[in-house]
Amino acid sequence: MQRAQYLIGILLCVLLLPPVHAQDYDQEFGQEFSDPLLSKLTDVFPRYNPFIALVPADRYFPDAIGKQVANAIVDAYLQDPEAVKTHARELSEYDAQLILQGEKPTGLTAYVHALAAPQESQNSQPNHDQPTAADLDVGPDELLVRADTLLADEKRGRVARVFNWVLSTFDVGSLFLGTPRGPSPYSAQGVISSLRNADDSPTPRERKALVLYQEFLRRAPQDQRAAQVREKAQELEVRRTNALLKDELAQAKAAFEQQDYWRANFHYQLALMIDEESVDAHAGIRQVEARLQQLQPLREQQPEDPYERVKQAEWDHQVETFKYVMPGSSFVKDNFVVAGVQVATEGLVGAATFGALSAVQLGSKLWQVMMSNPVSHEEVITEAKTYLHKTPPEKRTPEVYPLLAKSYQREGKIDQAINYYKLAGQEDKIPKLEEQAAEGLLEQAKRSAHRSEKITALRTLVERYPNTDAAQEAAPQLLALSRWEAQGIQLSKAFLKENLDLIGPRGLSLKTELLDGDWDNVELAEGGITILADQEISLLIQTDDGPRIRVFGVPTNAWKQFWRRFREKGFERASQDGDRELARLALGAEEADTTLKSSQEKHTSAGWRALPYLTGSTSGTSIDVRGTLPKEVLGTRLAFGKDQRSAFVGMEVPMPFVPVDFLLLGRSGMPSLYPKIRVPDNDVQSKELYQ
Amino acid sequence: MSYRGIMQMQNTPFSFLPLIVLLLSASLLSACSLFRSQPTATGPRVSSTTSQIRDMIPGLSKNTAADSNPQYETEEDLLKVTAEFQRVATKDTYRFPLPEDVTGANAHKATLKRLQDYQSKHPGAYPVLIAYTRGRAYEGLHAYQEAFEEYERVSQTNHRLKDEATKSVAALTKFKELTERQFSASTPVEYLKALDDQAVAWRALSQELAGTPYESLALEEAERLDMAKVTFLTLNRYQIQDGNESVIVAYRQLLDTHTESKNRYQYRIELGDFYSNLAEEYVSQNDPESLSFNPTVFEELGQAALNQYAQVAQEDGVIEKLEAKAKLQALEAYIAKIGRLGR
Repeated sequence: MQRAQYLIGILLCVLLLPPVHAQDYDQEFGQEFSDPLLSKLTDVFPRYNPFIALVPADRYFPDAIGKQVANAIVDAYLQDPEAVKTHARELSEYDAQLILQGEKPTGLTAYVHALAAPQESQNSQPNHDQPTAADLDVGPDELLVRADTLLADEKRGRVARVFNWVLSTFDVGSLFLGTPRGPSPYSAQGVISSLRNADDSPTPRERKALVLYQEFLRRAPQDQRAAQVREKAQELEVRRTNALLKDELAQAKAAFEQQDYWRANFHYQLALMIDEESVDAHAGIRQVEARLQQLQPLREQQPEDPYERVKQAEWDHQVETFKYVMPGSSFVKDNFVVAGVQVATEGLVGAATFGALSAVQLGSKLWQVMMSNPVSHEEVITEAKTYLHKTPPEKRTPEVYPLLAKSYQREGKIDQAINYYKLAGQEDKIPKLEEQAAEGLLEQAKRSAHRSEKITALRTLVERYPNTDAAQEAAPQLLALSRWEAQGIQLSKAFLKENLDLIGPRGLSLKTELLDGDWDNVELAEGGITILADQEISLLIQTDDGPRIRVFGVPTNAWKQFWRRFREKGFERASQDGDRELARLALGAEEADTTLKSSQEKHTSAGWRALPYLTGSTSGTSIDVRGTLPKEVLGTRLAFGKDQRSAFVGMEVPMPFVPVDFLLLGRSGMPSLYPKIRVPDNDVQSKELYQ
Repeated sequence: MSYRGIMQMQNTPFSFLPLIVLLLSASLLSACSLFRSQPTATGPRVSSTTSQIRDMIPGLSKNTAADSNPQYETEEDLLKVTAEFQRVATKDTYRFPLPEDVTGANAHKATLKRLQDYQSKHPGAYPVLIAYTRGRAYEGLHAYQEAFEEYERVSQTNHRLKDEATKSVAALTKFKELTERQFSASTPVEYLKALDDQAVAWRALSQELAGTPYESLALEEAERLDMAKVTFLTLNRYQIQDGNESVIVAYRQLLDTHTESKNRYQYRIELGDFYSNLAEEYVSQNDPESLSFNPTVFEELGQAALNQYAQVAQEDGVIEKLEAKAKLQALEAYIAKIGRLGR
């Protein structure tokens, strides 16, 4: 009797529980019941088995093609590329026959070709997260080809940038009609600046070419092309050495001017290592030594105000910020040149360009100064902290605390800012800062790819700023992420649909009906499945009460099949797209606590970041806004605005076979068409190793 | 086109429509892989005209699964493993960094894992080819015993790779002899001499096997012993007479002997670190603000460290450049700090 009452009570509780909404399922299942009966009552689809029977491994029956492939591999191992090419040709012919007979080709020819020319398949490497050293382990011919390509790209890029300005006057459409138009002031300014600032220093692309040339000469000094290569390498080496020397001397000079004689000495020494006969470096060292002799008595005579250095750092920061907004004399000069061209081509109306162009740039820089932190406050912070360390609290000026608080705030170091606002007695500013910091942490958690990083960010938020709105939002997320059923690699439903083989009969052997959209035969929720440790998976199942989690043990063979397929897929993706995410997870090189999403989901989560980046210019008579669409949407460039003739909308039209793109501007009346030489868009890989 | 023709076009509102359609079609074509650079990979990138045409159509260009024929999955899977391995396995690992496959993993380790997967997916398929590939992967990892066993398996068959495998067995027998050679030493000098003798033997073996992949493996073994000598001296420099000088001499020997080693920049940085440590030790033993501090001694040590770091920092295209630049900055700050105190 008592047992029946107990059971009824439980059932009533279950019935009276409010319905669990989709967004609340995580909190709901945060509970764990020790009572088996309660567990059973809350278990979702208790008799459901999501697995299908395993498919036995295929038996192997080699045929003539199998033998051909085996022989090709053997010939590759025996370093006989001609024989491998013969196999490839024979396979290719066989494929052609199959196609003629309406049958499917073997699909093996390309792999056999790759066996024949292993070096060719690494001309361009997939993207790397980390910088990688120059790949010098290729044949001398390949080294030369790569170096020449780099130099040719550099030359083409330089010439193209200059010519593009000239070509920007070439409205092909207007030219046909006999009404050619004037140059674009926006592009003109960039070219003028680049021409004025051009120096003889080799670019990273040229420096990489030099490395490749030098390796060629080391490996093939007797080659008939060696003399020519040596000449090119020498010319580049001279420019590189000069650039290095110039850089060290400039640093030494700057340090000397700041009376930092030790740093100046250091850089003069480095300059001497580059060119031991450098007259400037020797003279610099003599100057430094002379100053070091004088420095000591000078310091002794003039005790300085300890806060003076902080003030100086603050002043320097203000000067740097001003310089950033008004970037030097070239700014004015360049704009005068542009305005001159504009006046020459458009008459006095074009003079408005100078003022308008300057105003746009000033406005843009001011906006950056207000909204972000383009000029670092580190120097101010360092000086102020030094002052605090050296000065007893009772002797410190109270100005230092708000200064430090503000500097830390601008640097995004909110915790330190809060501490100094407290010391400054400005506690009214703290709640707003706390909210700001909490939102930053929440955003950080959202952006983190890994669950552990999300948990760290959310935990920090909840612990440090418990009274903020963001903390209220973070707490349930933290709870959900901390559950053991979520500790693993999550594969979203959309990802699984894109990669059915991972859960199919050669993978996890799950029923495909889990993804068919029919709730009656059990359906996965959008969260998909999570691969847990210890040969288990958790399925997020759709129910009338929202998504519910259920954990299943995976049959050993299905588990092995899944990981095998996962590794294969990682390799395939890395080969085809250079995407190493799956491969890193499969090899254990990355923590297995991330969510794998479909390409569509990735784009959705990127959200506003997928919008084109816009730049533009304006003048008294025109406005010109340009942007580039994301790579997923063709990656082409767009433009819209208004000029003297009419409003326009345009897109860039890349031309096949020729390195020229056209900007097509649609407008009422005749469209405009501007040609533009395509600049090499692939920047040199691991640029930092050539600077 | 005549001026009148142009004027006629200007007066016709949609006269440029065909041009626009043509340009837009060109745009679509040029957005395809044929006209833009793509990461090249092992496999069906070097493909038939059919797949090249398919590559031109966005959305279909990466659908390589469609190229596969399930009837030849066994061969395709084997080719995927061997073609990628063949691409990187011939690298000279003494002179160049360890080969990475397209996933960024150690190519030898990844190949062993992929072959294990292959065998579980296609049990019994192509055992000799798999054994031979495993042998090559093992030897790249300096696992000579395992490589020996795999090659021996191949050498006992009548396969076309039998002769190659037999040669490898012969080479690896010599490797095993050297690695298994015992040496006893009761004093540091004897120990250093034993290391030197062993390194000499490996260098002799590398000369004997010149032109084969075993040449670089033997040189790596010799280099490892030379580095062991430096490590031994560094660890025991306080117990050995002229310990610091011995370490510097050993580093110089290492740098002079292995001028083509992939590790040569790392050794130079380590020598710089050693000089930097000596400078720090000098400062801890001689307070810079006291009369016992000799700025010349400190500056010489600092300058020696600077020379080593700068040589690497000024080198282009080497990964150690970044480390050397950072160390130069740290050294700059340290020298400036001590310099101010010592004057």
